[in-house]
Amino acid sequence: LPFFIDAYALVRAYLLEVVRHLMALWPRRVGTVDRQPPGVSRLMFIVVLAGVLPPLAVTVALILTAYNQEQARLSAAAIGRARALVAAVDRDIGATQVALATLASGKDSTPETSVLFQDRVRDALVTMEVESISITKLNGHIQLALSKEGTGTAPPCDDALQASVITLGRAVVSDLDQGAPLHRFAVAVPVLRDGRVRAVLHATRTGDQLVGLLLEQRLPPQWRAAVVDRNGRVVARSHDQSRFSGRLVTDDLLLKMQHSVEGDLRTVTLDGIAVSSFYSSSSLSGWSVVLGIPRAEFDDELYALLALVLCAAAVASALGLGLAYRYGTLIARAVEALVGPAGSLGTEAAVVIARLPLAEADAVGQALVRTQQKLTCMQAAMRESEQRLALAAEAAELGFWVRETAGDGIWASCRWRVLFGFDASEQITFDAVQARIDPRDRDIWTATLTGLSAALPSYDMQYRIAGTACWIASRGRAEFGPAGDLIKVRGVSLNITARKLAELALMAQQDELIHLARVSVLGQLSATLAHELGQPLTALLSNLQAGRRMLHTAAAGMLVDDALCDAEADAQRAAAIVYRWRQLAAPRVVPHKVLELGAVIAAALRVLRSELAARKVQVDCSAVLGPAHVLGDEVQLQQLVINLILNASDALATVTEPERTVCVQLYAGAHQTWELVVIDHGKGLLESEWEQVFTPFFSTKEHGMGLGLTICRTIALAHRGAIWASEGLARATRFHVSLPRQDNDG
Amino acid sequence: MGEALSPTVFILDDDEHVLKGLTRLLKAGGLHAMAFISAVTFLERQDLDVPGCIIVDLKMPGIDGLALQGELTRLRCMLPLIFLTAHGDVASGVAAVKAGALDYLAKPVDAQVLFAAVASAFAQNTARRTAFARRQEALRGLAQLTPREHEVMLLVAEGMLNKQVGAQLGITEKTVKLHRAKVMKKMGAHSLAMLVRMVDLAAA
Repeated sequence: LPFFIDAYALVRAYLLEVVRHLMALWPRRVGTVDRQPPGVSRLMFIVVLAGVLPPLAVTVALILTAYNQEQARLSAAAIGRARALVAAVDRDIGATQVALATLASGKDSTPETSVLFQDRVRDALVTMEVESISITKLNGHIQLALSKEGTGTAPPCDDALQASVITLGRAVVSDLDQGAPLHRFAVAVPVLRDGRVRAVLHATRTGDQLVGLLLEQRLPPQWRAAVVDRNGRVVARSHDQSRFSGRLVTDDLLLKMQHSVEGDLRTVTLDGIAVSSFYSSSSLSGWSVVLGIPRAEFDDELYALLALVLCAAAVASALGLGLAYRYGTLIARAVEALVGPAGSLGTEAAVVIARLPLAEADAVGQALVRTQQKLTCMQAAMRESEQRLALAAEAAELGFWVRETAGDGIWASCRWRVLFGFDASEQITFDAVQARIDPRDRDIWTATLTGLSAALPSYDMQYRIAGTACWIASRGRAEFGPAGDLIKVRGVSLNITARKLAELALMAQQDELIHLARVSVLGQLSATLAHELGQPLTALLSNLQAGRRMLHTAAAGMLVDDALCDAEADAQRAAAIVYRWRQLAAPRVVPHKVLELGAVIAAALRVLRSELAARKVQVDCSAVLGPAHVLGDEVQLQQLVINLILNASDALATVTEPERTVCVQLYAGAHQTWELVVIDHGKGLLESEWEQVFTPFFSTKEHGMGLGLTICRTIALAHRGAIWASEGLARATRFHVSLPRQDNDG
Repeated sequence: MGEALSPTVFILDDDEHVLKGLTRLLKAGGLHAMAFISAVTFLERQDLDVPGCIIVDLKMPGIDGLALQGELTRLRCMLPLIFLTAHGDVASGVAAVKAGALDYLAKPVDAQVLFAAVASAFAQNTARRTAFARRQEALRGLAQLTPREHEVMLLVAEGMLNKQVGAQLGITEKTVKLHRAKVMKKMGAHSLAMLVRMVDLAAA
């Protein structure tokens, strides 16, 4: 049993260790001390132990169970043998009793002992192998006492024994007599006469006589067997009879034997051998036989087996742990080898990972390499994009700035600092920036930046820098917190000085541009001018020369006068043409005056007459209603009409002759305006071009300057009017000009 | 045809002032002038078989100068054309002259230049008309000849002697002489040279 307890304690300790390790693996609650998570080696140790220990425990348990059963079986067998020995002892003593009883039952066994009886007793001494035989009368008188030769006188019967025989009326066996030099015990039987006990027949025997009985059992030589009397004294013993005869057995055995008839216990023999003792007591004599089987006999095998199993387990564990250590280290190294490269992901350093001895780690390594490559590519792309952006910002001269409301400081890019005249390291504050804004724009600037709200988070403004001619375009957006509080403002500033100056210059040059365009139209029309002037000059010259010829002839008078009159008219006509053309070419700005649009159209058609004739274009003016009074500059409006009609004529160039007709219409438009419409059925415009045609240098013609309609728009706008294109019936192209009506008396 | 007509200058221009002035000038120069405001009215109203010349403005609405020139050529009109133009356009001038225009004048035109051009036009017209008349005469004579007389005439005009003509046609020299005399009479030719010229005229 103690061994079981030991084994149990061992197994329990192992199991607790395993449980403790498993518990260590369990995730800790937050708040406990930050413990280093277990490493791979440690985990593998646990796995190995968890793999080895349960089978070990089971094996040990099985072995112990088997041992237990074997023990029980041996125990039963041993007790059986003890019982058999007891029976043998009983038989042996019983034989003595029977012999004594036979003696006692003889007729001559009367108290008056006959000689004959004495002879029979002497015979019995020899045959019964007893030491002595005596008859004691009830009154204690020893009637007869005979002993083996050489053994001295027969001892008298013990009083207690005699009393118990008399009381019980049957045979009784005494305990060992310690007093005698040879440890003896006595068997006494009553001598009955007429059913009454008259005397006690008493025979003594030595324990040594029982040793032979024990040896006859052929017990294994290491076993110890002993016959013990009711007092626990050794009567006979298989080993060292002489030494231990009469000695008390050990206390624990004695105690046990007093409580039960049969049983077993672990104890130590009198000669100091650890044994498992099995005993059985006789119901007749009360004596017991104790068998002591050396415990080594049981346990050596068990210990050997357990030792073997544990050794095997230890070897397996050692091997497992060794492998666990080796592979754990391998895994740990493989994983640790990835730590460095993983840490350097996204940095400039190239990630180089040698082949790792673990497939998974290798895969992760390869993935890391690929990721690094991707990251490198992305970083390169990002750098490229950043550089491009920076380049673009640089090229566009964009300055960035960010103002956080948390502090007074403003972060700004180099370009911005240059724009606003801050040094690279100078601290920028709101007030410092404010001080650099031109006083003329400062109020608006301050109001714009302080007026940002969640509803109006962005702004776009232009202002000047104090003390310079710099114009800045600034655009920004504010960010607000959840509570609507201003967090930061991001903005971008651009130097637009050049553009601003160009705008101003453009405005200044606009009149000049109109003039230039007019001159270019004049260039186009120079052939027309030649023809226009050629006509009246031809008439004039002819008339004058006719007049001269007439003067030389007799028939003067009225004829000459007629010729001179016509010549005068021709000259005036030429002069009118020259005036008109000079007016058209004049760059001066003529003050607005009240004009009649019908007259303007007629004047334009006069200018264009020859040109249109050359192009074989008809102009249909049947829908010109009037009078239509507007306020404006005659020359500019005339040019507007000329440009529109020339454009229409150009569009008709590809049309067959009879259909080359430009239709000019004039009627009252909506909102107190006069609407002038020029229509052609030429090649037409795409709808997308309706707006485009008015932009400068856009032309659908091969050699067009792209300025004609731009000028038209400028003129229309200058007259508070509008110009637009549309499509009429049968793919007609329509150009509308609407001009505010001017009442004649207003 | 026999009447002695004074040649006429026909003036075509769409500008009435120009028309009036030029007419007056030509009349003052003693010429017979007629004015037309357009080519159409001229073609409709005027007999083209008269002596004279045409002064026309190159650019006119409707039928312009070049178109009129084409039309007159088609009608075998013998009136020479003088173009007037205010444009001084070289390309149209070259085209006009190539198409048979007599002259090409830029407006405004000086009286002397104009009269010189008209005079030269008249001369050309007269020459054309004379040539035309002669040819008509030759053709009329030719129409009266018998086939045999025609054969004899052609061979004689080629310069063959009577004997050679006879051999060619297989007739006697005497018969050839007879035919030849009749041919000379019918054609109204006074000499062999004249006959040859008439044959050439008729063949043209």
